[in-house]
Amino acid sequence: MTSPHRVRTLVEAVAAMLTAWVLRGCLGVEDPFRDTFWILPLVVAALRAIERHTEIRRAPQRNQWLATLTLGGWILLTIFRQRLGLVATDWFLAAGFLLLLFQRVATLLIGLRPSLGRELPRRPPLAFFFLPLVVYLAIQPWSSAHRQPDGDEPYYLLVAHSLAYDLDVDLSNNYDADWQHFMTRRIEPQPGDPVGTDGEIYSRHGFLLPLVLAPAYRLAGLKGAMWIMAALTAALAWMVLRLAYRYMPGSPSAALLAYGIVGFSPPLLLYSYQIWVEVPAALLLSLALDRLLDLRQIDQPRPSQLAALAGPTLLLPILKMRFGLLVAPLLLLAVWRSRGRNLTLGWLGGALAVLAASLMAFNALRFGNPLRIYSWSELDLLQYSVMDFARGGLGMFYDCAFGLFPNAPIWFLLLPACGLLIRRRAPLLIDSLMICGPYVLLIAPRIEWFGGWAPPFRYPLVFLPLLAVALIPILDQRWRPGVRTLAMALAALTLVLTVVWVVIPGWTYNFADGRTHLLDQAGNRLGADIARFFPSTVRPRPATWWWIATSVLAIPVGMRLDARRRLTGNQPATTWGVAALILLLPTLMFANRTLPTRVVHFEDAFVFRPRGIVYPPPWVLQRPTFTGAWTLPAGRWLAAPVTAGGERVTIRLFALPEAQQPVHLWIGAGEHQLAKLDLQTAVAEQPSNAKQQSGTAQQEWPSTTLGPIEWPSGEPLVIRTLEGSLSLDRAELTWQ
Amino acid sequence: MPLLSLFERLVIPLAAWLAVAAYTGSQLDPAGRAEGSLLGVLIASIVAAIAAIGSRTPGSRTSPELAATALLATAVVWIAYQGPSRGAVVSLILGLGLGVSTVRALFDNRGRWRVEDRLDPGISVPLAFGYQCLMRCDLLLPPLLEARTLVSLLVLPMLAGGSISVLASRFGTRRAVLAGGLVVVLAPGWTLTSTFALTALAAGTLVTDGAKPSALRWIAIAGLVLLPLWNLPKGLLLLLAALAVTGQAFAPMPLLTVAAALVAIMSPQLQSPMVALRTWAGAVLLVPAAIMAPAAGRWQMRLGAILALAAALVSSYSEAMAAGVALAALGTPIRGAVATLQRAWCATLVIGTALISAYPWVRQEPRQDLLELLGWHTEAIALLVVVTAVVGLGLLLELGRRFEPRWTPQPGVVAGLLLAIALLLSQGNLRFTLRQGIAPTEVLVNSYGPIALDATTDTWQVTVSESSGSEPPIVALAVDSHLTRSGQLIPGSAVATVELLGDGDQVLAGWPLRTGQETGEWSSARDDVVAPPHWMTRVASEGTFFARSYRAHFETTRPMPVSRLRIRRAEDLPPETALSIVRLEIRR
Repeated sequence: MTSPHRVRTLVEAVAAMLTAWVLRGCLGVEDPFRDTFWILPLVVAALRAIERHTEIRRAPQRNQWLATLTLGGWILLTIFRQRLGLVATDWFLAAGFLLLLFQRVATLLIGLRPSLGRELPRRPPLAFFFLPLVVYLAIQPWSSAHRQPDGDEPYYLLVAHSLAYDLDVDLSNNYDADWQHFMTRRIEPQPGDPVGTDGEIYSRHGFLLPLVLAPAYRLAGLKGAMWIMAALTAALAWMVLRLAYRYMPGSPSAALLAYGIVGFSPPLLLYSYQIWVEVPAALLLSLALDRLLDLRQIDQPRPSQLAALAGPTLLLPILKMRFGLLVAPLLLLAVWRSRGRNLTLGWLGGALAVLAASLMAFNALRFGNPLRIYSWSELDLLQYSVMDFARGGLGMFYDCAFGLFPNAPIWFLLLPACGLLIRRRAPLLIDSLMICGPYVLLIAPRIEWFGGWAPPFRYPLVFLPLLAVALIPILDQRWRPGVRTLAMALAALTLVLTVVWVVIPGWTYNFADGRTHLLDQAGNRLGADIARFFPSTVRPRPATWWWIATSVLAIPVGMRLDARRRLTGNQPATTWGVAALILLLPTLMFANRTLPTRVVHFEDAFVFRPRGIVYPPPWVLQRPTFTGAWTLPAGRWLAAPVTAGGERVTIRLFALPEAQQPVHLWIGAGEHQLAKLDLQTAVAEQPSNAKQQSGTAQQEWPSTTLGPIEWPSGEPLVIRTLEGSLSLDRAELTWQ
Repeated sequence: MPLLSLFERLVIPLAAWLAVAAYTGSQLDPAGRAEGSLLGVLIASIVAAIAAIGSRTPGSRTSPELAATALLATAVVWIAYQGPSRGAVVSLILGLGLGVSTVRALFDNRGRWRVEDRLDPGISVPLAFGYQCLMRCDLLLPPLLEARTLVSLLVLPMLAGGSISVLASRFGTRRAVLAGGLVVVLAPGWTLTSTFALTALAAGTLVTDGAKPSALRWIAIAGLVLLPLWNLPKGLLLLLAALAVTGQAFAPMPLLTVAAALVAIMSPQLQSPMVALRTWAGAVLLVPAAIMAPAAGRWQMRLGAILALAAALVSSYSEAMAAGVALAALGTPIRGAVATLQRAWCATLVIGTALISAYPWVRQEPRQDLLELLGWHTEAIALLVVVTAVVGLGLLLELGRRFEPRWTPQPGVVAGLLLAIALLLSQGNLRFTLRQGIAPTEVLVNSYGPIALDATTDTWQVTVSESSGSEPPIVALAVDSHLTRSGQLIPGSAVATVELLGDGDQVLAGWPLRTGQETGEWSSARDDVVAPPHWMTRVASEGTFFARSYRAHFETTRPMPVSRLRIRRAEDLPPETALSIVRLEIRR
């Protein structure tokens, strides 16, 4: 770094701070962009500094002007938005800032390509750490203003607070008021929180992450903790290039694209401003794997090199006991890949065994349970069925609320990528299977395989770096028209969804009821059951299997067809990809108007319900064990839009009266009466505790069958409670 | 191949239109359907323009702005709730996409003009079409297949774009684009008068261009001869402007003489001098470089300014001065601080005017509204002061060069002086604009839950403080409203009163809402209804015109212990007349 560059960087930093102070002053105190305007000039200066101090290919000057002018215009638009009458458009302005940030990042990434050379360097430049760090810090003001810590985050913060101020992990004195330091909603001890012998209250979560956060938390509160998480996430992104060097060093361009995907799209982008153990766990796993692959080439490793492997490996179970499932596979892999250093690794294995025994002993003494909050029965895989494994395993990738693909469609490229890895018998594939296998096998069949109240892809996030590296072979073939068209369409869709998730962070948290906030909004807005076209393993439906079959078969087959054609001249792959993406929308509407409605779930958002309440309550534990329902009070009604599939229909209504009272229903199509029903008589002999049964989501609700009856086309299904109240689960329609 | 590339690119606007139409078809609310239809056509039109521009842009294998604009605009229609906010977002995206496409087409990677002496009609025509759709979005309301609409949407942009390309071959791309940009700001958009102005200048260029086919030259001559038949005074002025660009054949003095004679002949029908001066000052403000031009091109610029004054005298419409403004623009310097400032000012005008004339603002005087946003009110005194200052600065520079030919004014000095003049004149108003721009403290009523005051409900009130004086004082409030069935009211009649109340019913402050001033008829966009300048529009349920709302801004003069806010409908209003409050903001 030369002196003129340093001076210029310093001058720009000072100018940025002054500009930030001026910009912030242009907005009111309550303005949601006030903190964003504070950080915006600093982000601009930081990105310029990265550009200046790195071997970079600069963007065309015209594009720089355009970007600068657009940013300036956007700032003015934000300041003057009230004067222009732009009401309720804050989300749009935030999206604009985000897109400008992404445009700048994309330009920088393209410019950074020369720094990777013809083969990936052993140590990727630090620009690949600072670039995502700047981006994560840039989005924090907006995201933290629009969501409070949620899920497990408050508890990690509370432990960090206790460590920072009380120097202990006993939370008995912290639940009273200390939560106010980082949120406005009161928190209580979680079910299953260990209690000490002297009445201490401990968190069910490990102390390692709070320990890392505590110093920064002490200095800067919640912001400080989030800065640390941003740094850890940026380090994880950097590690992807490191792992790419280990496995595929000859594909620097493809590795750069994979890095861009993992670092700047969901799910990692969403975790960058949140406090979850999965990010540091992924980082530790990446570090351990990197050291392991390094040792593979060394005959006589030094103690420091072994310690570099042992450290991250042993820290994993301390971070969270669940991650202990990764340690044994790592050791096995190390033994398998080593050149006869079994003695050394044996020492490591021994150290691990001692650590595990120590942890269990500590837990048994302190909490009365060697596994802290888990039980040995959870390790018994034979208690689960194949469907349980399929539900969780496929759900991690396909579920609309928690899966990787629906939340960031660009990751669909993993499917053809896996095909390539299988054909090449790539070491990455085998290593990944060895490491991930036991963990996924134990997580997948659990009822809360999705990680509970959390952003998508929580539990498998620890493998994200491996998945990113797995993309490299397919990205290496981006010259093929089919690959490029598909990649462009998926990238465009991912960009739109990323903007939505960042601008509306609350939409990344979904209940385990087979729906998502986004699909609910769409269904509500369109008055149609849009969710039925999207996959869910929490509430399995035909779309789930269609998505899986189509993606597994069609994508790789489609790419194979144009294997020999090379993209030339003006072939607008981007154009066709984006056009296909846009045409999905009218296709969706056409499908909704054409495909008949087979099932109506009355708790879904597209059903018009002026009164009533959802069953079960949103925050019930083990939500997947319930099929949702809608409790309709006496004298109320609901209407569900229905696409007819014939002139006559048989309706099987699954419902349960409340409190053993008589229930009289009016059932119709719009204003046309179809039937009147005395439900108490119909379900008198049905089990009364049918609302909840453990196991699968398809429970046995009492049902009543109507018809076949004539159905007037274009009318909604209307149900009115003339007397009594009841819970309505669903209606199954069979058309003739 | 450009044609194949264009065909492939047109898939995207078609896809966007289909996607928006599919969403619109599912809407139950007729207003939502109407707005969706307009947005669908608007998106498809401008995206098609971007596609056409991109297909002719050299070195453009893919146009990222094409995909991004189509995708984002379509996504917004699906995601956002219907209403002016959605329209505003879509218009901003489309304007941005069109702007990026323009820059990529005209400038190479290093930021230099691609071609200095030629502008491909394959770029200028779709560019003109795109801006026409954006700035004259009322043309996209049904019925679309009317002759007048098709001419305005297709023929006029074709003529305008083609004329700009012809002018580029003679005067250079920079000047031609500048002229076209300033003309489109004047009307706004391409009207018959503004388009004919450019066409006349282009015809004048063709007449003496020996390189062009003689048939084309004869067509140009015939067109020029027929101009006065279209509209005598305007046509003659356009003819004069065309003759001015034919070259040495026609000297400026005879043309000026003819112009003066024309004005004298038309004297019984002339506009009042102050009105004309005000209109003319607004035009000169578009081309301040006309005053400070170096030797080359000076006669064109001054002749243009004089022709614009003559046009202002014969017509009160700004677009009548298009020929003069374009002529002045064709004489602007290409390089130097003045040239750079002129181009930056033109870009600001085009972008700002395009934005403010687009849906949902659809302002009738977007140029004036833009200047007001920047803190300049287009009243005669203020504008004349500006123009006088600029003219004076130019004369000073001219005198300086006469006394000392080697003296070259520093670009920074010139820029600084201009900015100082601008800031000095806008200072108070800019502060007002900024103050109005700050977000309100509270929104008491929003468009999703408007308040209707009619014969049965004539009062509405809301508590703004639990106990009077317990919260920071209210310093300003803004009321967005419109009237229904108010055509028979006399302009200036009070239709309601906005009151701030203290304890009990003590009225601490009150302001009237008067028809034609603070509020107006919602259907004033129809040809048969007269109304004041509106604040915001939305597509009416019928889908064939814009419904309007009006904003009134009030400020308190002193702190007051306010507990409630009340709006009372005037007692003497006809029973069928209703007042709708669509938004009510207070600022503490």
